[in-house]
Amino acid sequence: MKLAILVVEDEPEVRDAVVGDLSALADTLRIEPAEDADDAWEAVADIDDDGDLLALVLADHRMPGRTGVDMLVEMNDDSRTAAARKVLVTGQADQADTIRAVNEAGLDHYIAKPWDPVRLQQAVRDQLTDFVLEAGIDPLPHLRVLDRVRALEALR
Amino acid sequence: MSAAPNTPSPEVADFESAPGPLVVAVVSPTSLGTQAAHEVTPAVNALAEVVRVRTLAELFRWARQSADAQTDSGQTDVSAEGGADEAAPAAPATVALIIATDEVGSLDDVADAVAHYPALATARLVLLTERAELHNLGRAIDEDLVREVIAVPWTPGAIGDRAWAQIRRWMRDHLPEDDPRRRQDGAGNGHSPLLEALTRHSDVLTAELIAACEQVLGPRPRLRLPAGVRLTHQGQIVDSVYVVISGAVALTRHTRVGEVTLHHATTGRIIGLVSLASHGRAFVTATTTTDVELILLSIEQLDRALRENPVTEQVLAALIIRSLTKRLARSEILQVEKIELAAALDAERLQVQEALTALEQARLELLAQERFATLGELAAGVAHELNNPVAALERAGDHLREDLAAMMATHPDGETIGRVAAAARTRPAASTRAERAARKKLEQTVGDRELARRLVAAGFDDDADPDTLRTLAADSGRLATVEAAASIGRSERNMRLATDRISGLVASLSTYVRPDGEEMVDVDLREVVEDALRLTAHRLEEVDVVRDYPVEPSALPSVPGHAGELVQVWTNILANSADALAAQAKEAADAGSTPPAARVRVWITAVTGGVRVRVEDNGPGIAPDVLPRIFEPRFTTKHGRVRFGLGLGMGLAKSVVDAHHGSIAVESEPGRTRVTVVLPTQQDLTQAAPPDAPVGRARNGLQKQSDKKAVKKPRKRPHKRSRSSKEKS
Repeated sequence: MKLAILVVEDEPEVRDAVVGDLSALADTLRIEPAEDADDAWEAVADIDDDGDLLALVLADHRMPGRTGVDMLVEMNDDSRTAAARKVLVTGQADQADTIRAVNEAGLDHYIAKPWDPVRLQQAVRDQLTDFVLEAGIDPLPHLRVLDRVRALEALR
Repeated sequence: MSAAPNTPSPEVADFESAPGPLVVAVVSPTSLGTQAAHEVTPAVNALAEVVRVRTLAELFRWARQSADAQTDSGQTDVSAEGGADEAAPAAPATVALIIATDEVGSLDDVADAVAHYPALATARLVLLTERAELHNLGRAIDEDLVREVIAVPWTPGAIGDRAWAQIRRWMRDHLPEDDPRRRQDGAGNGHSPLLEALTRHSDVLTAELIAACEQVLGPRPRLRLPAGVRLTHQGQIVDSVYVVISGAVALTRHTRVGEVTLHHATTGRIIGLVSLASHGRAFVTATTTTDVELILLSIEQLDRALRENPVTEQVLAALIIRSLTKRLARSEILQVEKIELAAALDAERLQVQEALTALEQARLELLAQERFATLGELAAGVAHELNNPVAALERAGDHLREDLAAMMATHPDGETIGRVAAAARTRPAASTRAERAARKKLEQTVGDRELARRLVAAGFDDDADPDTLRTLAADSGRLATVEAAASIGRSERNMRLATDRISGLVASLSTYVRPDGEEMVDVDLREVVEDALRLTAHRLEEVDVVRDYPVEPSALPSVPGHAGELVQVWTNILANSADALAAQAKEAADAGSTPPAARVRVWITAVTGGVRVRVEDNGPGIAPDVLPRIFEPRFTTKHGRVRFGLGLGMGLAKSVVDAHHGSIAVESEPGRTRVTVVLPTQQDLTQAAPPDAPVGRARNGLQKQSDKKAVKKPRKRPHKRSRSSKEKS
């Protein structure tokens, strides 16, 4: 079983950039890019079918069709995605969208574009660690992508 | 109130010029009438004939017959010299006076009727009554019919006198000046001494007053004063009067706004008397304005003269009445003037208010333009500043590739890496769906999902040769090299796309510069529209933008214009469409229904003498009451929302189109709103701008252009579409 990250972003260049910045974690993690909300749900189904576990969603806000926030709200109502940590990666959400994302989508974090890859990776580590600790999953197989200090502390 | 019957009207003017015999009608059912007629007849004998009737109906019958007689006699005869002589009734008789007793009924009925009978139209009415109170004569008095009320019983002879006097007055009012009957004077025009005195001149009256006083007091010394002497001081106690023999005195009063002249020409001859009447204090300051001759009388002296010589009283009363009448007349005129002035002031204030509103509007417009210009400068500045990093980025990317290629030439796997990287560089970005599908297929071939993912990322798809894939999968070092090479190529591609996008945005922003300094150039409206679409792309994300125009160069004529200004036209139009479509989507979402897919169509076509651009959306349409107002400056339906750079709306679009001598029109119905702009391809440089066009930029631009005899080449920019997936071609 692998932990999976869903990267939902409609612009290919930006999607490539996010996936590229996360490639250091790709050995241990499953990274699923998706170009819109519908595609994201297909990826969710794949992850579930393969027996992997969706741990984190990185979503752009502005996309054709449903917005990122809409999608994250939907994900709160599905057993496969409800527990996943949810992070908005956007350069354009206005205040109202952000507030809604926090209140309704259970937004865990917010990353502004353009992002610093080190901080992006750190944010992903933090979120994954939170997920593992909250879900009560054995952190050891995933230690490479977690905040080691916190994960090991939890083991004691 | 209708015109008084005795005022000349065209209808009665005819027989006024040559009236027939005059008649006094005595209307009464009782013997009182006979008695009255008996007394009136000798009195008016020389002037009029007396007709005795018993009822109003009888009077009206008489009047109708009189009118018939007029018709029978014909208009030609009317010019004959008429007179009181009954032997030659050249013109019909006219009733000058009606003497009626109050038994005949309501006088208002008489007033109602007289207007219908020309013979009665100018009649005066004398009422005989035994009653102490009278009603039903409001209209009769209002129409100036009733002239006199005589109580029964009357002094013998009185009614004859009154009838005679009334006939005389009728003749004065209605007979021409040269009518001989006017000069037929009679005796007994008995005015009172006071009324008599009122007809005399002030100088005469003043002399009489002084004479009357001097008769009692002895000769009074004449005081001769220069101009500028104050005879009374406002507020001072007055116990004497001045009688002015000659010269002028002004009456002034101190007010909040300074010294106000109340009377100058209307002061009158006696100064101080009014003050006596108002608690003994001078109401005004009286100052001589010329050399003045006057006498001074103390209250006691005046009192004595009044007591001992009755003439004094009448003359004084007449002088005072005259003086007060003049002052009253003046104050009435002033009152009218004041009201007229107030009305004029009100009108002016209204005008000022309007001017102020217009000024405020102009100020706001300037402010908006200023803000817009500032935004334009800002945008231009930002665009300019972006050029450097973008250029650096672009160059760095190229250098990186060249350096990499040079390095790869000596690398053992250099050939492979170069090939894979080049493939990745030129391969368009695949959809995640397609990649996922490819990965699933490859997973079946190589049996490992992660490996399949890496192969797909490295550019292999499900068509790849399975042997090659297996070989590569077995050699992890080589696989890593291939993956890295693909990543390099992909990064290069992404970098180029990103820098292209920034370059496009920078170019679009550059056209948004302050238009003042810009010259008229040949503008390709397709580029302008593309710029506008790019600048509004973030608001058209969920809108299907359909372009309906030729892409090949020179398929459309260019129009002379300011590209920067023109971009604003379509940015505003497109922003409005985007807002309308967003509002429609939101409304549908709130109602739980599915809105039609948002769509904006843009047509650009050449028309005779110009280029036409149409932008049509399938939004909810513009309300009919709003439609006529959308070109008003600063008109907006978006209350309280200021949008970055776009808050000026259609008013700005129109002013830009006007400045380009083009036309803009909006048609709208639910589900279809279309904005059509036509811009001329040529502008006659010899012809001045139309008078209603803004004088500023368009003409300046033309001027500069013709002066320099050089037309700037259109901006060199490949006509390419943004590669963003957000814009659909």
